[in-house]
Amino acid sequence: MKQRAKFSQKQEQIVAQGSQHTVKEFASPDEMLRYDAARVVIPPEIAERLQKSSGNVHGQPMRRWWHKLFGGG
Amino acid sequence: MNEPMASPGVTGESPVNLMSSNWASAELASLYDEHSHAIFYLALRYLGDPQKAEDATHDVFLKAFQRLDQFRGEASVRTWLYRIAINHCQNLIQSWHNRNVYSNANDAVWENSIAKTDSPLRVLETKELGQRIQKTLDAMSDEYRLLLLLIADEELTYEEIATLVGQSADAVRGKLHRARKAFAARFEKTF
Repeated sequence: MKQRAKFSQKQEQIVAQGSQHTVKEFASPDEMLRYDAARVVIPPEIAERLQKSSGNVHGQPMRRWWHKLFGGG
Repeated sequence: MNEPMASPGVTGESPVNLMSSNWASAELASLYDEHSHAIFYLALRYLGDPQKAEDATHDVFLKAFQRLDQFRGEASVRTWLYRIAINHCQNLIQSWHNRNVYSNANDAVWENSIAKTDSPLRVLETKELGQRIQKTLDAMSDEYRLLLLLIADEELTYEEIATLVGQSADAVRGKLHRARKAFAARFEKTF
């Protein structure tokens, strides 16, 4: 299993030059990338394009695959 | 670069549920709904271009839909999708003749940098965080960049990552240790 970050993420407020900034502190690059990933939103255009594109590929072979994975008739 | 960022406090969940009736099947909608965020993030940070990441994510899922009958269940669906995505992204990268290539020797310089790599990474919570991360990743070798992006997915084990990159789990652990140090050193230089 992957090693968990040793330190919890800390957040603190600092006042610099009259304006307030939030400082995020990350114990590791892994933690920073997970935070970054959580903030990224998938453009809805991908799903829309895929819905159009996938209409031509939905057939019998993939039904067999899904049966294998999830069972059922 | 236009970063596809969420509003503060909003998670990166796909809005696909809202339009699942438009999919060819509920299964395809489910597959996309569950894994698209992970695949898009990998493509975004691996390729470093939101538009290319969008195209790549579309192409990866279309390939997956077309090859569903080839999936034998020996790996998790997530790992299988990552395999397709990595191949797709690496083919794109290889085709970019004008891309700067960084060697492992370059990484070694950063691994041994005097930067405080054992210190926590601190950053002002601004819109520039994504850009700094991208700048850091872009300056790393493809191998280190890929390993860091894969380990950031908590659903993947070291063994699954090792399979994806064709190396032993011990080798992956060692390279990740060096990749983390290189990332931290480079990130400090991105101000």
